[in-house]
Amino acid sequence: MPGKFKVELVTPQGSVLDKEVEEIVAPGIMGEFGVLVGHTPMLTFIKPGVFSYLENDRFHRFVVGPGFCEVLGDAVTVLVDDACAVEEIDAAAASSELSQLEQELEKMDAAADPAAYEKMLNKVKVARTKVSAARAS
Amino acid sequence: MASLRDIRKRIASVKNTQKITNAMKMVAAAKLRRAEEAVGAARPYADKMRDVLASLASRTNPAAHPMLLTSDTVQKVLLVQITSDRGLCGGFNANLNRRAEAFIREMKAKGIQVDLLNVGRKGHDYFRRRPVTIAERFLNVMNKVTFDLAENIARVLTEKFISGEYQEVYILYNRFKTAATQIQTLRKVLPASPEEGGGSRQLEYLYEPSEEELLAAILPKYVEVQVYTSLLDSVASEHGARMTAMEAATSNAEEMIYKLTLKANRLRQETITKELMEIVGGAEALKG
Repeated sequence: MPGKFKVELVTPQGSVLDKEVEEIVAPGIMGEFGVLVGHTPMLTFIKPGVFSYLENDRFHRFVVGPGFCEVLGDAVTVLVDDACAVEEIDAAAASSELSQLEQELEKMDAAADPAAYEKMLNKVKVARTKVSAARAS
Repeated sequence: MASLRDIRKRIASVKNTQKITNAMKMVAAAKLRRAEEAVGAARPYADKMRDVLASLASRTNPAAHPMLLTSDTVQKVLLVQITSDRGLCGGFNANLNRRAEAFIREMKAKGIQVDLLNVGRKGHDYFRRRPVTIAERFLNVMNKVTFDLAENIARVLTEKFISGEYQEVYILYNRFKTAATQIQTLRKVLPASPEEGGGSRQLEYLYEPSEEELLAAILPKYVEVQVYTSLLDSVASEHGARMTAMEAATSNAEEMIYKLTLKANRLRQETITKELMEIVGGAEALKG
């Protein structure tokens, strides 16, 4: 039985997750990484993708937006723009959202406003991950 | 002396006013509930953000990023003042304006010039006629506070700080506590220096990708989040203050109506008595 540590998943819309877990897997900017208890302190970016934690031999998955993650001692703090539990995703709604966002992205000019383009691109990535996660589950 | 008709008119007018204040109270209460939820939801993120930044900043060299750099000689500071766009909310704006003035005086005594960045019409209206430079204004925005708005404000103040125009940036707003209490809060936003006595924990720490890149991404975000939560706090406080003020106004109107009704009744009684006396007097005279 591995040790447990505290993980908090927080978005600007509120705290999504705050519990003691055995393991997490997060989509880091340098690739996916796992954290077990006793991990070296670390700070890294999170890119849009699937974040999951292990509790009672079962992985619980979330689709998350960009943000960052701090691993410090026996606590992990994940701050992301957006987070949604995979079970709560409505596949139909997610795919219509994706196509709508993709259209908006088409219309935007990457050179004119790189920051806004980047933001929209991230939204599209989150939507894409939602669709594929909903399909897989 | 006011005639009975005058008093009745007065009662009707106070009743109308009471209806309005009561309606405003209801509206404020409904808006307050929503604003309160928004504040409650955004706070954990902002608090965590501050924690992460504090622990990051305490371990890094301030020279690593311009937004961490403290200036030795402070000559000009920027004060971001968040007020409401509309009045009728008690001492909400007046208190904040007084606090801002006190701050400006205090800084002046130290030889520091304070410029203002006004968010919300009321603070701007107040300082427009005073000898203070208003560097930037965001008016009529409190109706709908979005993250985009916070981003815009944050961008403006970050630019002004990095260009060296201002050496420090403060934010002044009403922090929401309960519907009846708001706490005026003055907070330094930039430089984002760690709080005193944070202690430099020299842990072995991994940065992915690099410390500089992380700081460059987190610091602007930090400022945005600080501005955003301040705005949300201010909105919730405004509705709270308005609700309290309107409740007081409604009960004052109630009291006024009571007093006026009493007066009107007494006057009516008096008139009747007088008329009766006249009739009786007339009858007596006929008898004689």
